[in-house]
Parts: sequence; C-alpha cells; structure tokens
Amino acid sequence: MTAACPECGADVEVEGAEQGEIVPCPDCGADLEVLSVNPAQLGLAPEEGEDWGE
Amino acid sequence: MSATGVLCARVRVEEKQIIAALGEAGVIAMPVPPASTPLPPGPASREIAALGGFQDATTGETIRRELTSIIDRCQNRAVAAATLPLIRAQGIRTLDAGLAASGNRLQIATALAGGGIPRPECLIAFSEPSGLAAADHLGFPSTLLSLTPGGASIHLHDRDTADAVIEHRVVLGGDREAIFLLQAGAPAQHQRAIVHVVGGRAIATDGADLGVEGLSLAEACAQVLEASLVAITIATGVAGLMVWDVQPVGDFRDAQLIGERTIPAAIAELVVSRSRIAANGSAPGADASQSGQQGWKAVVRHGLAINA
Repeated sequence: MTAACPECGADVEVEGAEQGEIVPCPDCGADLEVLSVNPAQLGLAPEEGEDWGE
Repeated sequence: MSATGVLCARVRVEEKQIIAALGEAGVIAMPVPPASTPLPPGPASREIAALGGFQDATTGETIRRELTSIIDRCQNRAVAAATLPLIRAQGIRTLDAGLAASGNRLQIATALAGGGIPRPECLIAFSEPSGLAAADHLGFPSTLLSLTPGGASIHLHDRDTADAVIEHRVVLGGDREAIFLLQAGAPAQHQRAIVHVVGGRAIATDGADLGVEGLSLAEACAQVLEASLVAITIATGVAGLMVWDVQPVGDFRDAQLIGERTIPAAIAELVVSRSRIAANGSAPGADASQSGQQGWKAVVRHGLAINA
C-alpha cells in the first residue's frame, strides 16, 4: 500500500504503518505523518519548535 | 561541461518540474543543496567555483559540472540570503527574487514604497511598546509579519490578540522575533491572490481573480525588486489593489496558468535566453546536445573544490 508524498509526489510505502506514525519520504526526505491508513493518506509532519503564534 | 543548478535542500514537486523543463529545453540541470561545505567571501576563480557534481545513473561515474547559473528554490531563506551573494560573487548567474531573495521584508517594503508600488500602511516595531503603538495606530484587524520574506503572518483581530502575540514574541523570542512589521488590514483568502512572475511576466495565479490590473501590478513589483522569478501576493480591497507580500520561493503546483506557458517552462526559457545573452548571442552550446541526459541519482556535494 502506498500514498503520495505531499512534498514531492513520490509513492511512499505505508504498509503496516499506523495512523499518526511519522515516516520519511525515500525521495525527498521529508518527514511525513500518516493521516489515515484506509485510504492511505500522508501529510507533512508538524515541525517541532516555537511558532510565535504563526 | 556546464550545468544549471537548482538551489534546494529538498526536491519537491516544483523543483522536479523545473528540472524536467530544463531537460526538455536542452539544459543540464541538477539540484544543488544549500552549502554543506564552506564558501569564501568575495570572488573566486571559476576553477574552484565548480559547485556541482553528480553520479551518472547509467555508468555510475561521478561527473563534475561547472554551474553557470543557479535557480533559487531554497526554502530556508536565511541560508539562501547568505549563499546567493557568494554564488553571484563567483560569477554564477542566479535566477532569484532579486532584493526579496537576500533582503528582509523591511528592505522590500522600503524598495516598493520608493518604487511607487501601492502597499498597505505599514509600520516596523522594535519592542513591545512600539508594537502595540503600531497596532493601535493601524487599527484592527492588522497583520504582523516577521522580517524574513516568505515567513508566516499573524492576523491581529483585536488589541487583546495583539497584546498576547507581541508580548510572546518580545519576551520569549530573540532579536529575530522582536523586530517585525505590522500592516493595516488582514485580507481574507478570497481577497488575495499570489501572482507568479517569471522574467518580468505574470505566468500563473493562485487565488482571487485579479484581472489585468493585478497582473500588471505584480509585474511592476517584480521589476522594482529586480526579480527573475518571484511570487507576489496581491490584496484586493476598498482601497484597490495593493502588494500585500512577496514570497521569494512560491509554491506553484496548484497555480492557474494565465497563458499556455507553465512556470517551469518559463523558467527554462529564461535560463536558455540568459545563457544566449551571456554567450553573446550564440546558442546554448554543448548543453543542448545533452537533452534527456538528466540521469543523475545523487548530488555529490555543494561547496568548493579547494584541492581540485
């Protein structure tokens, strides 16, 4: 089972991953969060750090 | 053999499309990650300025290429602002957002004001008292923007919000957070659009319908900034069209084309035309024969070949 990387469009294998898990994109290296497993959907993982209200 | 680099730490959809378009235009292109090795201040010889190299996908051979131009697609603007002047100093042409590529939002606002570009009323604040005074002067809603171009903005809908946000930044932040711009108003999503300008021409938009006047305003803004490629946020409102913000690196994957040319195709055309100008009217040269040979699989390095 794969899902598209929202950053570079590459197919990312998410077989066995759980919702909320962070997986790296093998193409662009972005950290991705598994938003849902059925259907498989990925989003950019939120970055840690102060957002200054942004 | 020379090549065009795409300055980016991560090859996203946009960068892939740009590299593909360059390949179709007969230009060897490769991603160049922000410097992982040191760069010298000031000019350096072309021999040691060969920033790029790649591993041929078919032969496995590592090939060094002299970069003749670099397209700025760097998401980290602090890194880009430091890197681009050094790249230019080494005689490499850069296609970037001009002043917005290495300047801050205050410098951009100053240049646009000097160029007669319509902008919202804007104040810069240096402290909590001056920030609150600026917010009170501009009224609510207003918008707080960090000095870094492309950084997120914060809508201040009332004084309590302004008080909390500004105090948070000034008390807990460093100098980078304590100095900021405040702009009058807070245009909603349907009141603004991003215009992608390449080589002085508006190529695509993202957001509200602006009409010809809005596109012309974005092109005029790009001209003032001396930007080769830039994304201009235009706001619509009772005061008319105005330049709300400037993004040095625009995301265009969902943008609507104005004509038939895509943004990557327009960038590729610009690279080719500037190569011709640099070669005094000659064709792109040997690069043209390399169309379709973009088979790199890894960028080797970005930095100085000091011992080369």
